[in-house]
Amino acid sequence: KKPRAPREKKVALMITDQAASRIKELMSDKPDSGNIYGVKIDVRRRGCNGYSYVMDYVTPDQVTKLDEVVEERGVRVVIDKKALMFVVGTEMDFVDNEIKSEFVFNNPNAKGTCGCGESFHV
Amino acid sequence: MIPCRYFSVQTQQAEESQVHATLPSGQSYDLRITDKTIKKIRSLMQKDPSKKYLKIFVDSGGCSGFQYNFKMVNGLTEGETEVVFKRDGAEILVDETTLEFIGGSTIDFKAEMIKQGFEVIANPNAEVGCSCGTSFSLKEK
Repeated sequence: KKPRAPREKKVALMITDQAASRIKELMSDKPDSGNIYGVKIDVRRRGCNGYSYVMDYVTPDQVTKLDEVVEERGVRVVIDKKALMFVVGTEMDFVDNEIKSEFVFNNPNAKGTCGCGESFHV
Repeated sequence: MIPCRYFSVQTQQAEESQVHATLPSGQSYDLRITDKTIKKIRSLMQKDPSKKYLKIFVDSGGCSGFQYNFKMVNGLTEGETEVVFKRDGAEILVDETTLEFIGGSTIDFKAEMIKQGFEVIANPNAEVGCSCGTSFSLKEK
């Protein structure tokens, strides 16, 4: 019998290169970036399919112990404790075409999404 | 020959202005265009001078039936009646069918951290649609 491999700790959030470079850009655009800890992801109950993502800058004092901090590819993303159970395992990507640019969340927990891809349910 | 008309600004407010168009059929439409939209179109034109119009068109799709679409194009589409709304050096192309859906709306460019893109807002013909703002359904007439 093969020994069972130890269970891997689930990564809370995967950040693609595109998303990371966009976050770096956002951080350097912010005039008082020295005071900014990173960006924070949260979910709100809104949208036609239950939840949608919100993002904002976050200062160090706004981060609580229960929030999950993901540091990858040189950027820091904070996941709000309320959002953690919805987004765990999600890949955060950034899609940029000439007309539109947006962060895209490929969420394995979502059982369905809205036509526009902005709201989802779990 | 491609039917097309140019129109000028009617009223100018602080951050948006209303552009008015009358089609050969006599039907007339307004669009309000925000300064942010103008700025974005001009910067897109600088990036790629071959595409100078922002084209707005409505497709079926999305969770509410119809969906707004935007793309930069280099000219008018042959065989379609398109109206050019012109303001401060930026030009927006809308075909006649789409105008019936979006006449009276405001065209905005929204730049948020999570998403940046053009939007059709305050559409008097649409029911409040999807939360993302790209999909809508028509009001009962």
